[in-house]
Amino acid sequence: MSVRPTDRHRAGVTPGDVLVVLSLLSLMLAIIYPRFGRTVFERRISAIVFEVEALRSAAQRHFEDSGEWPAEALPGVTPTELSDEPADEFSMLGEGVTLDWNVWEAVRDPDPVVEEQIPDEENPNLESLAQPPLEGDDRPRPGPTIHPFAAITVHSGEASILAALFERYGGAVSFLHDGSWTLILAHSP
Amino acid sequence: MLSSGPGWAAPSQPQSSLTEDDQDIPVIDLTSTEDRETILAEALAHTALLEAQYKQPLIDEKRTGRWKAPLAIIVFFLSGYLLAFPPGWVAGEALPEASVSAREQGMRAALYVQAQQVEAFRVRRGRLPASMDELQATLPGISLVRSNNRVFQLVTPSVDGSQVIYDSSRPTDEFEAAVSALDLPR
Repeated sequence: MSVRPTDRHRAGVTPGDVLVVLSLLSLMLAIIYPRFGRTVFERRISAIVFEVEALRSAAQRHFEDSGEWPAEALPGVTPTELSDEPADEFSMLGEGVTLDWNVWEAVRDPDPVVEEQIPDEENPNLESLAQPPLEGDDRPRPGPTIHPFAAITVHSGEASILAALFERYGGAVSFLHDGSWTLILAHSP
Repeated sequence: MLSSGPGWAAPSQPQSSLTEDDQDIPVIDLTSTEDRETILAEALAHTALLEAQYKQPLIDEKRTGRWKAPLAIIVFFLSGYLLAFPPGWVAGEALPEASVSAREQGMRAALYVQAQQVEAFRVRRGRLPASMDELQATLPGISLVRSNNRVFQLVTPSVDGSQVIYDSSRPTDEFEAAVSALDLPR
């Protein structure tokens, strides 16, 4: 049986065919890659939120049990009081992020002192931080009290990650500052 | 047929009884050297002709292959453009970016939190800290300025390059509002 010339030429793959296939593959990659990148980003945010929520839950459990927040820890270091939590519960170090457990203080002043009434070297007659009692009221005025509150700070060099966390939690309980995002936990009652 | 009966040849039939058609007698007489060379030359010529036909590219193939390289180049450039400058329908939703107002709110919240640390120090020690180093907790990018023994300012650079200042002698409502969670009862 003889082979016709046309059959012989159609049987092979030419360099032009390879070029066309490669170019189409690159086009598909160019279209898919950005959406794939967005999906990866969303997964990273979900992972970070998971870690933050796990740390928050563990800290709140400790607070409910002992009445105190876990002590402050260095960035990336699990608070000592939470070190007995299961290893897979949360991690202070993530992909491109570092979690930081903070315990800060807030001052509650039931009746704020007017600035001029605070004693200092220029006003030696004012001897106490406590305000004088109201006229006819002999009860001592309670002074300001200090209340610790906790915060979880996420440090990251990627501003989009911090912005995504801020979007998710909102500005009422969290804020962005200097390459970090901070979530303030409910202060002690 | 050589057999006399149906399906069976007579074993005793002599071979010399085959007809001329039954014998494989060459049509062409190749007994002479010249004839054999002539036939061989014709066969070689025929083979050479076929080979030449095979090597000749098809006219249709040439036409269809001509557009492949330019098309591939155009698609390559298009792919590169889409990767470098992806339009909205390719990039999808853009990555989140903090607004200027959110960043300014964050600065005020940070200043307020830091001010709370200074106030806590004052309540505990009865004086203002001499510097940020005396405080247990400090937020980055904030500096402390003492006006006198009872008034202090906290300063941090703003988004536009100016400075955001927390002044302890002035109402701090806008700073307190920056973090509702710290809207403590007074």
